[in-house]
Amino acid sequence: MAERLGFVLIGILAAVAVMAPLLPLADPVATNVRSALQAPGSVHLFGTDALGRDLLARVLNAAGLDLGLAVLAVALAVVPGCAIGAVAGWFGGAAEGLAGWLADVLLALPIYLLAMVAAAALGNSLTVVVLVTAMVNLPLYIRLTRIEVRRRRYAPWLDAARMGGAQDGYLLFAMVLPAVAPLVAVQATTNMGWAMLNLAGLSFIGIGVRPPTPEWGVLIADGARHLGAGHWWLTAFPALALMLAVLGFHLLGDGLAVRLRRARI
Amino acid sequence: MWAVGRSLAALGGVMVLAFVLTRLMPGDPVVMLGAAPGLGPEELAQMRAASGLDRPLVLQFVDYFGGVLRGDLGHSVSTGRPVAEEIARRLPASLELALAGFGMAILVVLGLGLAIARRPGGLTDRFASVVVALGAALPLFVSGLLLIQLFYVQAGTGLLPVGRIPALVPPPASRTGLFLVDAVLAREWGVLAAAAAQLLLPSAVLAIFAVAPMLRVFRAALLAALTGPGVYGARALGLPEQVVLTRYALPEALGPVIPVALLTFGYLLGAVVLVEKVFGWPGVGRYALEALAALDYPPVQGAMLVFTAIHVGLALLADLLGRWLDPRVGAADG
Repeated sequence: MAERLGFVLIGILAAVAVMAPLLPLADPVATNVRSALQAPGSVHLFGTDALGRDLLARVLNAAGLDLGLAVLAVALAVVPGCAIGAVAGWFGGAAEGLAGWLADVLLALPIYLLAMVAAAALGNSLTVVVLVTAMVNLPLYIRLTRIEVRRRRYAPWLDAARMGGAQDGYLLFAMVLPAVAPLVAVQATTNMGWAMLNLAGLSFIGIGVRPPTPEWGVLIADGARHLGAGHWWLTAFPALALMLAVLGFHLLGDGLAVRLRRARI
Repeated sequence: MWAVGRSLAALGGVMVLAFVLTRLMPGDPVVMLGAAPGLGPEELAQMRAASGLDRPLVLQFVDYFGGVLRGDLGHSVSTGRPVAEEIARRLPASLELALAGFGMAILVVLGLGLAIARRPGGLTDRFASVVVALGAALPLFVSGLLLIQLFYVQAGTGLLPVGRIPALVPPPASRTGLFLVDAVLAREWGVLAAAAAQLLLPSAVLAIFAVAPMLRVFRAALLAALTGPGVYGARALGLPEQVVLTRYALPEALGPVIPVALLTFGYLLGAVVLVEKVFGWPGVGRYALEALAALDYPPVQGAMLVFTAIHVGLALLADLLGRWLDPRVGAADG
C-alpha cells in the first residue's frame, strides 16, 4: 500500500518534471507587478509571488531541476562508490583499509558547512552543490558494496566457477556485482529522497541554485520572507511539492527493501 | 585502540581536504589579508615571505596542521579577531539548541517505543509509522516555517521569535554558555522561562527531524527483543509484563539505538545551520553563513573543522559504546 503510494508519487513527479515545459502554464519567470501577491484563486491556482509570477508554473517547472540534480548527485555517488567498494571488498588488504579511511573522512563531513567551504573555494555553482551532495553520500555505497562483495568473495558458487577456469574479472563483474546491484538500487532509491532534501536545503541557505531560477528550496526561502505578512501560499506549495517527492522516494525505497528481504529468505 | 586510531586518521583526512580547499579559494591570500593598494611586486613578495606563503606546500601544510592542533583556526578577515575565539563564543548557542532538540526527540522515541511494545501493530504503532515517514520527508527549514506559521502568524502573537532570549531580558551570567543551565545556576527563574520559551520552537524542529531515524531502529530492536530468548525466559519465570518490558526487553533494545542516536546527534549539529537561519539563532552556523556572505572565509572553514571534529568524536563514542554493549560487534567486524 505504502509502496504503491510511493510509486504513484514518483510517477507524478517524473511526469511533471518532463511535461512541465509543455503544459499550458504561465511563464515561470515573467513578472507582472499588477498581479503581485495574489492569494490562490481561479486565475492563479497557487497564487502569485511578490513580483506577480505565477506560483503554479514556478513550482511545476522546478520539478525537473530538483529531480535532475538529485539524480545526478546520486549517480555521482553510486558509480565511484560502488567501484571503490568493489575493489576494496574483492582485494582486501591495503585497498580495503584505504577505502575504509575514505569512507570515514567523508562520513564525518557536515554537508552544509562543507558546501559553504566548497562554495567559497570553487565558486557558488550548481556543480559545487551536486559534487558536495555526491561526496557526503559516497561512503554509503563504498561500505555497502565493500561488505557485500567481501561476503561473496569465497562463496561456494564462486569456487565452482574458479574450478571451471573463470578469471577474477569475470567473477567480479558477471557473478558478484549483479548479486549486489539490487541492494545498491534500494539504497539509491532512499538516497534520492535525502539528496533532494539536502539540495533544497542548500539552495535555501543561498548555495547552488539562485533566484530567479525556480527551484523548491529557492521558492521556500523566498516564501519565508513573506510568511510574517500572512502570504502562506508562497511557502506552502513548494514545501508540499518537496515533501511529497521525498516521501515518495522513502516509501518506494522501504517497499523495495522489504521485497528484497522477502526474496532472499 | 584501533577505533581511536581510525578516528584520528579520519580527522587527518578532513584537515588535508580543508587545506586543499583553502588553497583553491579565490584571490591571493596576501591581497585578501589587507595589503594596501598600490604595493609593488617586491612588497607583496616580502609579505608573502613574512606569512610563509612562499614556502613549499608540504611545509605550509605542516604549519597549518600544527596551528589547528594548537587551536589556531586563523583570523577573521572582516573583524581581525581569532576565529577559534569567535566560534567558542557561539558554540554553546548551537550546542544548547542541538541538545534540547535531541533530548526532546529521545523522550518522544522512548515513550512511543514503549507504547508500541505494549501492542505491536496497534493504533500507536500505525500512528508512529506515519510520524516516521513524514518526519523523514519534512525538511528542517519547512517544519521551522510551519511552526512559526502555526504559533505566531495564525495565533496572532505578531512578534516572530528571534534569537536566544527576548530583546528586553538580560541574558544570565555566563558560566557554561548554555542559557538554561546558566539561568538555573544564577537562580533567575524569569530568565529561565524566557530562554526556554525562545528555545522551544527551534529545538522542536530538530526533534521532529531526529525522531524518525531513532524510532525506526528502536521499534525494530524492541520487537526483536520481545520475541527473543531473554524475554521468553523472563515470561516463563512468570514475571509481570511491566518488569519484562523495562528490565529485559528495554536494555536489550537500547544497544542498537545508542550508536544511531549519537550519529543522529552529529547530523543535528550539522543541520543546525538551517534552523539557526530560520530562527535567527546566534550560533556557529549563522556566524559561518554571515561570514560566507561577507566573503570572509576563515570562519567558514573553522566552523567546518570544529563540527567535523565533534562528529568524529561522537562516531568514536558510538563505536566504543556499541562494542561495550554488544561484544559480538567487534568480534564480527574483524
